Amino acid sequence: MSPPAGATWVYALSGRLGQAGLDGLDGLDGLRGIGGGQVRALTSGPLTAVVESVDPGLFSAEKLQDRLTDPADLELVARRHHDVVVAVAALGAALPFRLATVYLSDERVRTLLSERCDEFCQALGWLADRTECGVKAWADAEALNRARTAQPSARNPGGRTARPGRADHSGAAYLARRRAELAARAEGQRLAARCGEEIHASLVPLAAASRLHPLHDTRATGETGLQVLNAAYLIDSASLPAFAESARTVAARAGACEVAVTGPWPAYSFADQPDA
Amino acid sequence: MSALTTGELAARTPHPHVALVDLLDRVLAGGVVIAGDVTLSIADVELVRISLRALVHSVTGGIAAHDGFLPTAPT
Repeated sequence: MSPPAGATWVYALSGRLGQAGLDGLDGLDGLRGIGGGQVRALTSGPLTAVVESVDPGLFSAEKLQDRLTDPADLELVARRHHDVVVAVAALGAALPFRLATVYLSDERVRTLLSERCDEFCQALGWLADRTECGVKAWADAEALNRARTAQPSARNPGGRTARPGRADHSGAAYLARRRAELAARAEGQRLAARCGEEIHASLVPLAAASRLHPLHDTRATGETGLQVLNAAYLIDSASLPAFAESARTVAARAGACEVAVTGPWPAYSFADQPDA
Repeated sequence: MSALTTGELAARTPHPHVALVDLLDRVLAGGVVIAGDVTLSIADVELVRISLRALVHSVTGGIAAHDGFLPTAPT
């Protein structure tokens, strides 16, 4: 099979970019695209795709697979993709494309724009004046469980009291202790999960849409605590500071030991669900 | 290209403080999914995500538990 003649990497879609928009992109001095080339605007009807011509030999499916499995290359590609998407989003509503969406020609991209014009325009309208905010929260499962058992409740009026007496070294006592430990751990994890659910439930009404991302495994990072929330919220751009403040407040109230608010992000997490 | 170190990357990119884990959550699992002429299939992306999870942590030195606001706000 002979190598294809060209390849066009798609970063994002936006409403038709006028000269001001193009100047904005040209203003990204020194910002190279994925392949080190110039980022271009490709317009069809009311839509503009922001693209770059890349070497088809370097951007075949196999090559992409290899490159994206290499951490340094993946980081480079992801960050360059992101930098361009941020620049486009700064000009107005933008629909980011999934990393590594490559077409064999500009013409194929124009065809896509015209074929799905209505759908893309609707999505852009939905995203206008909105931005994505990330909220991550961590909880200390053990501490949550200790706090709960120390707190007298209706179900457990006196709290859990340790029974004084001589240490029992029998096998039955060992098994009982082990069972209690496991039960406490499970209870702590249940409480931690509920902490994340509580934060999320409090933030959903403040957002136009929300999306839960997979939780990061903190065991791999050596961090203390358990990540209990890794979510994205689509909010009005103007309300970002207030939303961030709400996120910190509800996280503290829910018993999280850490909370991190990130953004504003281009609406990556909401580019594919205009009806959400 | 892969010879670049993380430090060099940070020096060259406008938003180096965007945590890579957060970025990958978005660029690999978000965005408009269109069947381009050359795209990673969803299955491939999942493989990339899984195989990278540990590597990402080694690249970024773990998840930074602090807020990260980008300097430029999309309008």
